[in-house]
Amino acid sequence: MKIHENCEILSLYIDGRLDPSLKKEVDVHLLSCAECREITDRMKAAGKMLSSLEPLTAPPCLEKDVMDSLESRRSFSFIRMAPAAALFMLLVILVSYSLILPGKRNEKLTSGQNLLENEGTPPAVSGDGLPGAGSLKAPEGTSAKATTEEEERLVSGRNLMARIDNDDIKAELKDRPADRVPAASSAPALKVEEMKRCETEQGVREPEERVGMDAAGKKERPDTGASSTREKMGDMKVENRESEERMLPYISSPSKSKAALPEAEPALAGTKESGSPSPLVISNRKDFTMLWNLQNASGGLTCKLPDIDFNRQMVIAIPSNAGKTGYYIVDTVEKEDGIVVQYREMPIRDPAPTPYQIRVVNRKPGVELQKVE
Amino acid sequence: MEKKALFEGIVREEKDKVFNLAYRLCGDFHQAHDITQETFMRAYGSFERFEGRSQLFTYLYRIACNVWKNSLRKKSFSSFTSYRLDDREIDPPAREPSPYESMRSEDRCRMVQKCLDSLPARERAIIVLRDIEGRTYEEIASILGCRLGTVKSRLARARKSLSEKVLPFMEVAGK
Repeated sequence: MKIHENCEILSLYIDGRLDPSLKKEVDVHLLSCAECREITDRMKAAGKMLSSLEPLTAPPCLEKDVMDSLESRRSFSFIRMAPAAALFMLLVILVSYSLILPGKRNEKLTSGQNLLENEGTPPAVSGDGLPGAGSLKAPEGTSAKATTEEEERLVSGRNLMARIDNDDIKAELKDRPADRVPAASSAPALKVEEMKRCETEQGVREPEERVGMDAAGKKERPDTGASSTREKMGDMKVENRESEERMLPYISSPSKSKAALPEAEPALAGTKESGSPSPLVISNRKDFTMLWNLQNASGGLTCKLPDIDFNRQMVIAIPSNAGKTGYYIVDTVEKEDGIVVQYREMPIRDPAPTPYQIRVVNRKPGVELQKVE
Repeated sequence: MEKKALFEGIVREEKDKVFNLAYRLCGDFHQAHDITQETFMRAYGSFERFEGRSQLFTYLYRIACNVWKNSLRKKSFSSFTSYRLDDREIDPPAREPSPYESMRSEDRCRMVQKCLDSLPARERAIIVLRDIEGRTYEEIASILGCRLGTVKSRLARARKSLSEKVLPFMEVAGK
């Protein structure tokens, strides 16, 4: 190994880190080599100079600074965690709200109903479990006369949805498509403004065919004078946007059924003049589920959704009442070209507990309303 | 709470050593203060991971060297106010030597520190640890996280370089 001017060996020599044999070689070399001896001496002197430096003392504040910084770092960590914690809390609140909201909506509907007048008979559930003022009836087409109890229940029942004044009804009539289903003069049944809005949003509008129906509707509609109630309802509408959207299919149902019921208008001329309920023809499960939920919510019920085969059946729903006039399905008669819904009209003291009378019938292309005395 | 009390004792015991190392490495009193502070903060954060296999000063020195190297990379200390030992606001020496001794000591300190500052960082760290702190080669390798051969070669280069730099001062001092 070359020793001359090999700094690493000389450095190790200074520190005594060389093997004894190599150390001897270096000793011999240094005796004869002035250059390496000078390098070694300078390195030793530099090392000595460094080692002779007096150790510094940390400033007195250092210990306190260190301990304080430990505290502040802990706080800093919390601050860094704060946004994540806030986000998490927000998420929890949103999830909680979304879970609570449906129950709250139902509660509001019920409380809105209570607001109007709580006294009255409890919501009626038909023998089939259908939460309507009428009963869910098998579509045999056979007649089943209303019992006195049912009529009485209708008269004394409550109906939240019926408390809508003439303007609402007009609006509904204006927006209703002209189909075989009779034009309602006094049966709003649903929040008509909501219906209008929903129809507008969906583009379900046929103004030309509705013109004639407007006139009839304006003539015969009684004034319920329930503007204050409507204001309450308006508040509820704002709070229950979701339920508004859920009502949309009910509105679209008649217009959907219009294509299937193109020639029914003449048969309804008589009912227009005398004032008739505005029925809904529901031919799909989605719409029926929403109607069912509405019935449940309005009546404070939890009835199970009945299983209906919409391939061969459909649901006819007429409003339980409009203003002080109540409607009751007496019977449904099945004909070759359609279903005749026989209904009775009567004055009521209180709205029915559920907004609709519901019947399940065999699927037919047309629906006619027939008022019976 | 026990951890904090224990660590407070460690800070009290080791702060001077860590501060001295930091100052020799960076050559700036306030920067040394910050390096020392950061060293203890990091040590406190990873105190549970200290298994006691290495000595505590090795553990702290390793952290201090890393903090110093990071400071060199980030240049985060460039904004610090540079205080030297001759700044009268700070009085680093603990003992009070005679005015003559003090003056010579301060001059020597400044001169040596200036020479150290002129060395490359990697060589500076090794020569500080070896010739000022008196650590063994193995300890230096452990502290700096490098191989023993690297320590030897870098120390040799650092010594040769430093001896050339301090030669004029030594001659003055010799006179």
